[in-house]
Amino acid sequence: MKTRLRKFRFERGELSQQQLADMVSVSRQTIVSIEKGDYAPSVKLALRLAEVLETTVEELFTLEEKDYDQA
Amino acid sequence: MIKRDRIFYIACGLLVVGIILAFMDEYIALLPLVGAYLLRPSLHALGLAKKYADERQIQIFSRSGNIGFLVVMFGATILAILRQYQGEPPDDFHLLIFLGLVTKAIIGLLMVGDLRNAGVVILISYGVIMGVFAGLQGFDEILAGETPWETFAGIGLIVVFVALGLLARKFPRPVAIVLMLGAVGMIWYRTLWEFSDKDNGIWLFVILPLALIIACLWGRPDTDTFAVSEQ
Repeated sequence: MKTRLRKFRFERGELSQQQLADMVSVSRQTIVSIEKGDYAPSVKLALRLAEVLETTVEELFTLEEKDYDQA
Repeated sequence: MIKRDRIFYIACGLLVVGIILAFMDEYIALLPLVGAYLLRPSLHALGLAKKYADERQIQIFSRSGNIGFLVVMFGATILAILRQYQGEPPDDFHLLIFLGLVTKAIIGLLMVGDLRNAGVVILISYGVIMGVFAGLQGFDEILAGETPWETFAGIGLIVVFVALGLLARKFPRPVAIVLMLGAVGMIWYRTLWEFSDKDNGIWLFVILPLALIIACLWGRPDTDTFAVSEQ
C-alpha cells in the first residue's frame, strides 16, 4: 500500500511525526511505520488521519498491484 | 523507549516486591517478577487498558505472544518426551500443554462468533485431546510388550467424542442434553460414591469444558441475517 502521509503532513503546516501521532492518539513509531509502508492502519485510524489532515482516505492511501493478491 | 504510564509504575512495584522476596529466599518471588513482565501484554490481550497502547503496539503484543506461546508449547512437549524416556511421569508437562492448547483453541473459536460450530469443534477437539492423553498413559505397556488397555480406552474416547461431534452438527441440543447428563452423572458418581473432594481435576478437565460445549451447542445458530429477513 502506498501512502502520501508524509506529503500531507508537510502540507498541513509541517507537522512533526510526534504532533501528528498526538493528534490521532498513537505512538510516533506507528506514524513512522505507516509512512515507511511497514504497517497498514485500521480503517478507524485511516479515517482519523484523513480527518486531521483534512483530506480523504483515498488521497492518503492507495493500493498497489501486490495488495490485490493479498486481499 | 520505556513508556512511563500507570502500568509502568504498577509493574515497577511488582518488580520491587519480587526482588525483596527473592532476597528473602522466598520461592514465590518468581510470581511478582513474571507478573511485572507480563502485566502490560496481559492487560492488552484481555482488551483492558486500551488507552495505553495503539493498534500497532497491540498487534506487536499479539504476534510476540503467539511466538512465545509456540516456544512454550514446543519446549513443554520436548521436556515431556524427555521425561517419559527417563521413566518419570510427565503429567505436569501434559497439564501445561493441555491448558495452553485448549485455551488457545477455545478463545479462537469463540472469537469467530459462530457458537454452534465452535461447540462442535470444541467437542471433537476435546475428545481427541483427552483420548490422546489417555492413550499416552499406555505408552509404558507398549514398551513392556503388554496389552495397552489405556491406549484402547483413549481410542474409544476419541471414537465416542467424534461421533457425538458429528451428531451435534445435525442435533446440537439433544447432544447437549446427553453431555449434560454425562456431566451430572460424573459429579454424582464422584461426590456420592467416591466421597472424594481432593480431586479438583474433574472440574478443570471434565465439567468446565463440558459446560462450555453445552452452552455453545445450546446457543442460537449463526444464521444469515439477510436470508432471515427475506423469509
